[in-house]
Amino acid sequence: MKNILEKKNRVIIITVICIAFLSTLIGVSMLLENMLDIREKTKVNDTIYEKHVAMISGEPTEEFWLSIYNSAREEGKKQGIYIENFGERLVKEYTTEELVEMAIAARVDGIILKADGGDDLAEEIRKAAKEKIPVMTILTDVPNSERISFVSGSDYATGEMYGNLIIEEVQKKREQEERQIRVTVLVDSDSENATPNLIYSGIHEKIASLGEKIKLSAKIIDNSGKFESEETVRDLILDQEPPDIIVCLSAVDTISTYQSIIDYNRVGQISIIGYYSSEDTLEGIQKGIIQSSVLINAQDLGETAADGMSEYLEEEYISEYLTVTPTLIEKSNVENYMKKDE
Amino acid sequence: MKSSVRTKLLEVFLVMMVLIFVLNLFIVYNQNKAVHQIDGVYINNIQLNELSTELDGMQSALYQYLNTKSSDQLENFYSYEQDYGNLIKQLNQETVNDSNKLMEKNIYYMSLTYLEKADDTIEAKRGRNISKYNDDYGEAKKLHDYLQSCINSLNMSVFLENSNNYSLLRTSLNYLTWISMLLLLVALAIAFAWIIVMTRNITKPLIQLADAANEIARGNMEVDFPIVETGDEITTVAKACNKMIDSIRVYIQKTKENYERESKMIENELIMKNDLKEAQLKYLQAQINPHFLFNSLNAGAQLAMMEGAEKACLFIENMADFFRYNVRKIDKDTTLRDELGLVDNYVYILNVRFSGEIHYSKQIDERLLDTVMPSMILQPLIENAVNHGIREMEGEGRIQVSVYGNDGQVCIKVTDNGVGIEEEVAKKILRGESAHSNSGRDSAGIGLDNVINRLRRYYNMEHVLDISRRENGGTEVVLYIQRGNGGKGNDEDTDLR
Repeated sequence: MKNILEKKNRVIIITVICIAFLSTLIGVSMLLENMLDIREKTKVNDTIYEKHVAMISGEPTEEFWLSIYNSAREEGKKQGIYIENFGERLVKEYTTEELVEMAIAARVDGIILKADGGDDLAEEIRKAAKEKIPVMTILTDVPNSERISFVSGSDYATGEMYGNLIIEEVQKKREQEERQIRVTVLVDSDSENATPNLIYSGIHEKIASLGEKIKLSAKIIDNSGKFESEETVRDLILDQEPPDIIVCLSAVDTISTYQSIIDYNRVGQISIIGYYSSEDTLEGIQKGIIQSSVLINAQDLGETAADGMSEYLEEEYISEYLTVTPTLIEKSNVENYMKKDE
Repeated sequence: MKSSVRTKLLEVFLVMMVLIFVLNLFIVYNQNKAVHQIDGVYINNIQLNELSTELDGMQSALYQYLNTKSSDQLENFYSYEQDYGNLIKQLNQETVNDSNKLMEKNIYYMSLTYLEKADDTIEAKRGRNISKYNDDYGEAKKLHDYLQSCINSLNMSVFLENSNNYSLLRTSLNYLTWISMLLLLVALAIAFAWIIVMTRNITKPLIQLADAANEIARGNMEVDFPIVETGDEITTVAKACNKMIDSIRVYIQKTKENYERESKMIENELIMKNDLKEAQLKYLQAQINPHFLFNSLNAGAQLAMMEGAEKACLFIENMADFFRYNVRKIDKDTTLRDELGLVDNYVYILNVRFSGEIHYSKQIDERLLDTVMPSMILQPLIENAVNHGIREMEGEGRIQVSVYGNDGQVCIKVTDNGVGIEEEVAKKILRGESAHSNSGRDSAGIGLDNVINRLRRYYNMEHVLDISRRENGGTEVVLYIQRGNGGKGNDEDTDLR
């Protein structure tokens, strides 16, 4: 009896040892498997999309462009379109025209293009159209081309928004000093397309009611050379008659102006009406140095472009202009944007 | 449910071998896998490099052909085109959410465009459409550059990814090595512990058995072999040994008992013999009541003297002396002189009885007459000589007694001229076998065998008497007596009343 029990015990012990050993082996195998297959797992998500659209910009890694691209891509996925940030991964730098050429050669299903004012873009768009590849422009247009549509912030609406902000600010200033308020609008010189001009005229029209109360001027910043923005703003501020209100139509100008105002201790004297929601700008708004910022929401732009392209690919028709309403960032709602950035 | 030592050992070795075999299998499998994966890591890069090389070759062949219109170059171009076409078929052609795969797709379609353009160029060259083939070549060249750039970019990107994978693989390979080592060590430890336990289990009973065996070899039969219930052969051996030891103990006990019984029997026999002898002696001595006879004879002698019968008186006096000797000396040592006196008396009595037929003569060394010796020794010899020698013959019987010293011994020789003794009879007497041949009715009572026995016991020696047949008829008996004192104690034991 004792013998049998002992034997039973021994068998149990042997079995337990074997099982423990084998399970260790299996566990280790699985662990190794897991470690080796990390790459494979990221690829599991490979869904095949029906359409392939290239989004092309001269600077494919720029922040604003990337946020437009990201929202466009996410929107595109919902519609069965995969939107590629074309040229992002190329080692060599290529011009927008070359990238368009490549996209055509790669036989994508559509192109969303941020024109950079190159001469041959219209020709490239024509070539694309010849290959039945629809080209849509975004932010900056290629006028007189075969592009199917242009997506941008509504310039007129933007101008009006700026106008309203200027009026508001002028009234505040006039409460303190009863004199003519000097307003300078910083305009990028490389924007040969009509956009800033349209905004400018929008502003002009809006503030016409103020008449002699203000003196509106435009300062052209030549961004073809680098670092121009900061120099121009510095000159403006140190001028004999510095502007009371500086209106910036680009993100870079806004940051430069904000920095100069602090550097030359003009806080409170010069008001800034900025553009876009870059980190510095938001900080300025929070501190009250920048009064407000107009924002053409990158997300809205991206989504609108993706939707427009999808619509065109399905129905082969789209309205020539797709506009995105600008939003305003003020001290009251700046927190939301800061959170978003985080 | 018995498991033999072999089963136990087999169990250990088999389980351990299988365990280690599985472990090795596992290690080899995983290492192979890892090596395979490492092999495969850079295969993408190799493919892309091939693609790039083919593309360059194709472009160069195209250029050469356009330059020289050499049919060799055209053939070259087509061969490259073929290879390249095959290579790009391996590229991804679907729109997927992976930038590298998407890049592959772009390369694939750009390649198609390039190939078409290249074909167009060759077509134009054949058609001698110079401006067209110039333009087309320009475009093909541009596409070629784009393609190269794309391939390079993809190659770089894939390379980075692969490097990541490679280092991942290296890490996992390292882990694998360590884990394998650890597992091997664990297996080794298990095997080691198990084998130690097993061997101890097997050898412990053996050692105990050996100890018990040593103890038994030292003579301690009370030790039992220890029985450990291991259920193997050792238990069987221990049990068998215990049985064996039990039988040995029983056997030894039996032998002891047998030995004791036998020695008791021998003792009994000896006691019985002694008793018998004593009884015989007592019987022999009780045959005559010497006191009564002696007193009566004395009375007879006085009567004969008063009546003046001198011869009768002498005869009766001799008789009385004869019996007085018996009464006085039988239980005590005597001297040779007294013994010879008794023989004189006896011969006188016989001569009266047989009317002077016996001629008795003595030849005595006077110096030896005081030698101490047991009593009633010589008379039976004379009686024998008369009864078995002289009485059965015709004519004159002679008996001669001579006493002489020889080599520290006193020799008493009794010779007669009778019929002579048969040699066989003499031997029988010396062996003590014809025990009662002398105890006739006419005997004085003491037989020759008694004489021999008493002499042997008295002197504690075997050779006390010789009997032989004389050459010229008759018998010769020689007694050998120690000149010094004999074992007196023996006679004291013979305490007669």
